[in-house]
Amino acid sequence: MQNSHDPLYEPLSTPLLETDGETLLASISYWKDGVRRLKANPLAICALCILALLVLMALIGPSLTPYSYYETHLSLKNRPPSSAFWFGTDELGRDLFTRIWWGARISLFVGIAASFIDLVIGVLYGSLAGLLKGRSEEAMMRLADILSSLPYLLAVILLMVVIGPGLASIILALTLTGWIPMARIVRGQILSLREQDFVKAAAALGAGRFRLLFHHLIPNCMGSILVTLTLTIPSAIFAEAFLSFLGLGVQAPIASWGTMANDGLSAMRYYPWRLFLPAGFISLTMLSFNLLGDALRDAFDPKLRS
Amino acid sequence: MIIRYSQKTSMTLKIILPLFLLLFSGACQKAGKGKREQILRLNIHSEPPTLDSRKATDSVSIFVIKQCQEGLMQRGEEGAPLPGIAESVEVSEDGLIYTFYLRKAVWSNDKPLTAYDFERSWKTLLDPAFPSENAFELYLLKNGRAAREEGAPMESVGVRALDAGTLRVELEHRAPYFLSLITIHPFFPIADPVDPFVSSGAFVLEAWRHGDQIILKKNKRYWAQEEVKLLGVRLYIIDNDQTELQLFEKGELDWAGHPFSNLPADALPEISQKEAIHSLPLAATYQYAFNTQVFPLHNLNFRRALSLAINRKAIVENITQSGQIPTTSLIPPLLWGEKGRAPLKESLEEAKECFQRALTELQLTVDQLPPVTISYNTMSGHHKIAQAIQQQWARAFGLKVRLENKEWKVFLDDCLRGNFQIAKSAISATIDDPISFLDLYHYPNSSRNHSRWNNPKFRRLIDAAEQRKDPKERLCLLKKAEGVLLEEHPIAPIFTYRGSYLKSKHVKNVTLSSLGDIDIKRAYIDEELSD
Amino acid sequence: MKNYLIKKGAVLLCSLFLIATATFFLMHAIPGDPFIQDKAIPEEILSSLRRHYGLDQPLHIQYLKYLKGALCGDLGPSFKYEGRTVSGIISDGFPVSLALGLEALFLSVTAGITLGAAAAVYRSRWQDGAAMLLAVLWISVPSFVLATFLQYLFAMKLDLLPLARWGTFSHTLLPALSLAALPTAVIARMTRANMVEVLGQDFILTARAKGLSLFSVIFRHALKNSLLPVLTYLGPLTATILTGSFAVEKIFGIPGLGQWFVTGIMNRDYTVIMGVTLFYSALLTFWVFIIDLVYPLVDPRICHAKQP
Repeated sequence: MQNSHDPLYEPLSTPLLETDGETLLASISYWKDGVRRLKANPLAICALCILALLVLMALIGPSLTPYSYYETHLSLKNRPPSSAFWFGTDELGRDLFTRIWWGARISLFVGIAASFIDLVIGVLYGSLAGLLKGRSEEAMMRLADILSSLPYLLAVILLMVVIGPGLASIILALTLTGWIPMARIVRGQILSLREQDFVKAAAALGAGRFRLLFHHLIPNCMGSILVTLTLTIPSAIFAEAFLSFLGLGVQAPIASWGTMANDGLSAMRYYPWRLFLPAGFISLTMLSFNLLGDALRDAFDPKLRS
Repeated sequence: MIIRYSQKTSMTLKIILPLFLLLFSGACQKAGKGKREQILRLNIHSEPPTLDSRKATDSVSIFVIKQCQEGLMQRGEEGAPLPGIAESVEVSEDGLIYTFYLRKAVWSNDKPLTAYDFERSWKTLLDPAFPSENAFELYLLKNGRAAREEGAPMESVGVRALDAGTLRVELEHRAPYFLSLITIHPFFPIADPVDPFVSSGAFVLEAWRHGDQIILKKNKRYWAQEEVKLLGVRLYIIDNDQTELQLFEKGELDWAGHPFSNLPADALPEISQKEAIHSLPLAATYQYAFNTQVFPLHNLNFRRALSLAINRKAIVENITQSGQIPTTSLIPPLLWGEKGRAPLKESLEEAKECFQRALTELQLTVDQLPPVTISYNTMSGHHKIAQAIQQQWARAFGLKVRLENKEWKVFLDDCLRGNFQIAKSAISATIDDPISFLDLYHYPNSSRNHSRWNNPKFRRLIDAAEQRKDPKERLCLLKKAEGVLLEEHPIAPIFTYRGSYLKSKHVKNVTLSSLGDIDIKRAYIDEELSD
Repeated sequence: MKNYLIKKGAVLLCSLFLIATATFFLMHAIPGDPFIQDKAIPEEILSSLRRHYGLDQPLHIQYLKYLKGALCGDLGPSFKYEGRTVSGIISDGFPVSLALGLEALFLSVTAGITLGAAAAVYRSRWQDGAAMLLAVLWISVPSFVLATFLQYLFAMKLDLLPLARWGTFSHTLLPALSLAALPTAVIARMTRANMVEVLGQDFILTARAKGLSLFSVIFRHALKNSLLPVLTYLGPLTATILTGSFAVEKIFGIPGLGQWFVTGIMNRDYTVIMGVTLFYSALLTFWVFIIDLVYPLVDPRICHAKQP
């Protein structure tokens, strides 16, 4: 006999229906409904606030201190946080507070831009592959496999030599193969979705490929897409750090959070703030994006709406 | 339900318990704290590309080869050559013919070590079909270059084994440093057939586990084997400075740092409180090379200003932190045989004056000057130094400086092609003589003369010096040549290297040279010392 | 079925060929060659070296020669590591990376699925929050930071595990944990996301109403339907993890294959680059193929083999 402590279900606290003869639910569009649900989610609001605060600090943070991000004070190196240097100093005596917020600009911009591009390309490619049958789908997926087997480092060095360092080249380098995991996930989901009845019904009702994709299939992949997106952003941030290490991307003395975390690694035992500050901010950003992503999925995923 | 839960618990136990046991088996596996054996444990950081003395060009391979093989002469303390496989040597009056008399030595597999082994090894190196970058070291031999580059017959090359115990060598021209030169590895003998497991020196290769470790054991057939006290050497291959330091702190390694790697800079303040950091001066200079063919570095005053404005002391004290010596001379004092430091030419006021003069000559203002770029290869040390200097020049002149961090081979390629403005450059001596540095700038298209600096007076001084028989006169001329070079500032020297390392206090008698060599042949573990 | 396998084999060969071509020309497009060094070496010597290894011939000749050799199983000698062949390098390094990778995979799949399932079942309660917080933390910390931290904590401070190198089972634990953290987190989040959807569906309610236990419902019904994206993720992940990780191998001094992907390029060791790239892509194609085969087992609605 199942008792009421079934973790999967909760007893209703209120009656499901309250009627006084009026219409119960006004007709509302999918997107408006999603936004409404999002606004009601406290965690989502919290995440949005944190992200907004991070962006705000990225914009005004560096001007809050008298130091610039490149001024070195060699004799004041490796100081812990204090009233003079709110986040301490790095190995060249530069103020970490200023550098963290400069780094925020790079990491947030590159991370979000690259992930967004990866998202668009990946979803389009993957859903197209999933929808088409037979040879074209094979060819598309094999092409993706081939691209992801090529030595990435070679392509990056070539980019660096041909285009030179800078934000454009690093975003290009990040999006060269960054879209492939998203494409694979989306394709897999679509493969299982396309055989379902609601898709066949929609097709029978005359829905074209386009409408099938955007109205029916992709919204149902939302869960996986959002989870993959929250994975793409940190991998973009770390890939950017790796690429800067090789000479692509922003040049010193500008540093992104990833680069600062790299530099701070060797100091973990002795000057831990140099590692934990940038790494901590990366984690905080990831946490917010994840909470937001979960909330987005809860709000927009058709399968979760009761 | 009850059955299910107990199944679950016992399943958990079945998985977790053995895991725990396995986990801690590793901890109990630590070496028992007993008597230390005569086995030295070092970390060579990377896999040696080869153990063939004719082909080796990198420091790791050369290190292993030098412990296992020996040449006619050995390098003694202070760089003076000592007898090795050759018991004695006769030099002709004109200094062109050397006759070596070999002792009765054998290879580790008991085959006799003869003059033929030397002849064969040297002649193979000069064979144009043999793939080795070391051939040019033998160009001092008569017809060496001709044999390698013009296909002259091997018989004409100036090396011949008169019999199993006598080797006659003829040179192209007089070279007072020849006996020092033949202590390097391209001059070692080679066994027939070639086998890295056969040694002529103190140790013999016991096992080569690629990527993991190289195990050496004492070569009982070495002619001086009574002097070798170590029974074995373990050369680990771990390419990470932090891990190496931690292994040393745990007692699993006997050595950390120079010459195989650098001690992590961030760790230095704390380590120096716990352990004694040893260091020694090295015949190597860290400098910035200015590309004299490129605007605005073609202007002498501009280069001079840049060099004078660098605060070398701040860099050495705060970034490299290993006792490096700030310098504005190309050649480290110890190559002149001097003990002290060279005078430092740094002056911010003079730098600013020179900069103004340069601007006048270029007919530009500071704001009109395009940014100047410093290139270097990806390594955190170069990165930090470049950032510091960038700031120093910005503060001194308001000059815009950009930094370009390049992947190693791209950097090398760019330096060779002159595709840079200012490039990091690190030069080290291959022999204990100032010519080792000066020769690099001999010609504008020498592959190491990245600055493409061209000065006929410099060349005349060098050529004249090489003709002198009197060593004092020779050094005097070489010093003048260095003076000419420094006046024109094709390079801005920054500091003279110092090698810092940590050594277990049980380890004794390891010899380090200012050329960056390390010799463990006479080393031993002192078991007497309490822990 | 045989035709299907033959077709797949042909596709594999075709992809390998394309990859070999692209990699070859990419390799030669970047500056630097195996022999230039930070030393003054006369040009004649460098040319004779290039001649010896056939690097002076026109590119397309070198390319065809390489392909011919590769088809016969000869991947060539290493240019930098004299005396070693590329096949030797792969056969020395792969078993090590394989062992480490399998361990990391096992850890991440079991831990990830368990964590994700628990989070989905206890959705919106503290278990969910805690599990997902942990997962986010692991995703936002790169593997080498985690590796350094674990090494310091368990090997230096607590002295429970070996610091570095390879040899016994306890040597494998820290590197496997470092490698497994990110996949565990990703698998956990994917599993949770999908299970939450699945658990909200009618057939689960039916099963519970029929009296099936929670355990049985999760493992026999919900899990299978949630695993599709996990499987998709696992395909390329397996190939990547099994060929080793450059950073983790360096930190722990492990003689695996991972370092060669970077070292080969840094040294411009052309044959090594080609060899390990082909090896990796063969492995990747193989795993993706296996995963594609497994899809219909997990979700019977997907049918492949019936396609023309």
